[in-house]
Amino acid sequence: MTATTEARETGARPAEPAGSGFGAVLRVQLRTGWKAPVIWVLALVGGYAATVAALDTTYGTPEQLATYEQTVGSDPAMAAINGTPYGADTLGGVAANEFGFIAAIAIPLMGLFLVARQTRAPEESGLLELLRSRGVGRRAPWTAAVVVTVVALALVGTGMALVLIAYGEPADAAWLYGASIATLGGVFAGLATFVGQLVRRAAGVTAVGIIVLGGAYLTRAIGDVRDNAWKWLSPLAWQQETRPFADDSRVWPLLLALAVVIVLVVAGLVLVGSRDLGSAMVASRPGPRRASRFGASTLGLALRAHAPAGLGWIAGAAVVGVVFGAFTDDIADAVAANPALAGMFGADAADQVNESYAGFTLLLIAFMAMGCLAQSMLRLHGEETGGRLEPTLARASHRVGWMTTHAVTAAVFACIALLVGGAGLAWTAGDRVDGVLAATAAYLPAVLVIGGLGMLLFGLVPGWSSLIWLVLAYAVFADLLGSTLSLPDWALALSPTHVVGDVPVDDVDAAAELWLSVVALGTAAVGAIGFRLRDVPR
Amino acid sequence: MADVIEIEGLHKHFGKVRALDGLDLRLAEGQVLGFLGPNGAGKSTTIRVVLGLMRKTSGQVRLFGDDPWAHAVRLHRRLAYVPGDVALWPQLTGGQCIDVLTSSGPAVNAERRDALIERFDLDPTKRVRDYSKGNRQKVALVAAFSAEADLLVLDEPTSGLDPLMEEVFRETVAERAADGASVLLSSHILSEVDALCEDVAIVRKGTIVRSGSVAELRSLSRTSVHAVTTSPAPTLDHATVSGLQRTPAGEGTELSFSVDPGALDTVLPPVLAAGVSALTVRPPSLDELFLSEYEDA
Repeated sequence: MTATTEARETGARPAEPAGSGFGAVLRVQLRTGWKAPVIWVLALVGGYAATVAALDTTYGTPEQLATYEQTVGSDPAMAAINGTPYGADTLGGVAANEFGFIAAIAIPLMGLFLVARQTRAPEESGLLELLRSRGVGRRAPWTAAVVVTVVALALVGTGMALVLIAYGEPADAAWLYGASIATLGGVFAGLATFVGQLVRRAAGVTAVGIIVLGGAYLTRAIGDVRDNAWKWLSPLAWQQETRPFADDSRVWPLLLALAVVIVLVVAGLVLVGSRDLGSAMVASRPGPRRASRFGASTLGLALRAHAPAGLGWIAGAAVVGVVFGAFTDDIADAVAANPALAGMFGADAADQVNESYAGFTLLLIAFMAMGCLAQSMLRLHGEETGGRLEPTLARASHRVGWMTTHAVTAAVFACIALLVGGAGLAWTAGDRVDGVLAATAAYLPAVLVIGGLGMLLFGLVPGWSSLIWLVLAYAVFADLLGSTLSLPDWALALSPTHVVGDVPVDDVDAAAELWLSVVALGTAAVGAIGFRLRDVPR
Repeated sequence: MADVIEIEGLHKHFGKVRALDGLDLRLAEGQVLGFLGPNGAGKSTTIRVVLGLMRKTSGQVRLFGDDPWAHAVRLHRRLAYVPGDVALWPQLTGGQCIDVLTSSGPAVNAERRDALIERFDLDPTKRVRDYSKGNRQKVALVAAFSAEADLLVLDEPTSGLDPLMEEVFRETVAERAADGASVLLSSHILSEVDALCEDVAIVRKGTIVRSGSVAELRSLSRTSVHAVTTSPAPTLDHATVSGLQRTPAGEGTELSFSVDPGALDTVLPPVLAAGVSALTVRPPSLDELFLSEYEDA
């Protein structure tokens, strides 16, 4: 009621529009948060430039590009993972395909995180209340965050287009590609603006965003493999279907994406104008008067902390495993019909393609499990900065016990996510690929390395806890683009998933498994000792 | 009987910053000690070292006769702690948080807990994120007071409480002290310290600048006297009185000065002999005492 009255009052007095204070908020956001957009832009444009440069050496001649289109470009397994490689007989098309997976994950996350961390996050912590008391309207923080994010995305798109033009690609194709990438990020920035009005916590905003991204990835994959209309549900397809480097390139999917951006942003800004500070459209209800004995224990609290995200990742991994596994039949059919692929792989081409495809899907599931663990390990630091660790440890509870309970709970959820994903893959792809379950298990130590690193960071340098995301981002980068960029062996070996090897194509390497387990346990132990010996809070 | 808290020459450095610089503090069994000092003087750091959350740089710290850093878990079974800025799990209810906070540590008196929830007028079914600062504070207080703790460590525990709740807080601390609990009460509210504590320790820049009983501290500071005499007042010894102001008032004199409480019986008789038409003798207020301790360079 209050909100409606207030909104009406604001409407009656245009002298104080809800967007006032925009400049002030913009300055605060840039002062406190300039690093994040700068890192995103530099990392994405730099990674893309390196990819294009490497591809230009490998596929320098039209003949080489033609080979790419006939083999990799017509491989349905690649279509599931990277999307349909339109125009894969041009450098831009090959780069779009090779960079496709990273762009499909990183660009949406960029849009999502950049908006959420400057809006719901400070609103949750109470910072926005102080700002809002200083002549800053309801909409200003959101418009400022959207503007910063859109500018950062535009810089990414421009950077990519300039790289392509520098390597001799036609300017109109380059700019269409850059614009489609920027708009893809814009869709998720708009999503964050809209969802940010419905849920209270910044973590909730990113969780909804990641679920939407997962759905977008799946519907795009289904649409690309089965060649049906499912893909039009996916913002990733809106980007891909502009087909910038193909002969039939078109602008209208870009306009569809832009329309969605505008609808989401406007809806979000309308909603924020009529709600109370700190509130959400979803109200909270009273809860139980007492906690159960288990609920009040360290394990109970750890379960409560890690279960929501953990269950989400488990469900996501299961869906990816089952759906991507189901594509193996389509892939076998497509390979059988493609003489070029059969020529490359020999008589059992379908099995070989499916095996490496299953291996790639498993890698994807391993990344999801690692993301699950990285997110959960960061909650340990969240307990400390949130001020809850102090009263927790002022009870008669062991520090190391508290830390290991949380870490083990988080690791169990991540391992279940990996195993469930692998089991889903084995279920739908098992009749075509052998050894999926063994290969899944081979990733367990690599996933646990993330947990060990999380404990190491939290125990020794808690302020640097979020570096764990950088480690994970590096693993994704090195595994997906390492061979394209011809990274040296030592650089590849820094990625725990790379150390596992190419399972199930190759056999599980016992020495690598042992080495990863030692690293996981060693880092965890050092982290635990560091935590025992350090001040709380620090 | 060993003291509950014994601190001697405690140093805690954060890089180049000396947060605690040779601090001494004692809390005897059953004592209620007011722990005062300006913001950033080192009160919370001292408490964190006592709780074994932070490691001392050097010096002696004993909690129940033992090293709190090495034996934190065992020693915490005998104490309850209320932090100055209470942070709780936003998705839990207040009642659940009370159970979490008391789940390990001293035994809980369930009857007292339920009574305290009533007295502090707390809705235990409400989610913590919907609580105000004062209500979060009440959750931590109920949890601490329902435990059968030998020691209560309270770090500015009443920030955010309304005057009514502040009163309930004082009653509850007094009850727990009467049960024999020792209390370390860090506070800025002087009336609260005056009402609850027999003894105080004042910390400034990481060292104790004054400690003793409240009565003792009172006797150390000067009583102010204001008098109007009917005949000209006698000359007063400048060695015993200070801040002397004399103005003629009709036949007599208007006098105001301050004096050590111990010297009152030598200073007052000659003034009274001059005939007094008005006289106020005001004992030192704690506020004045603390302000002078806080301000002194």
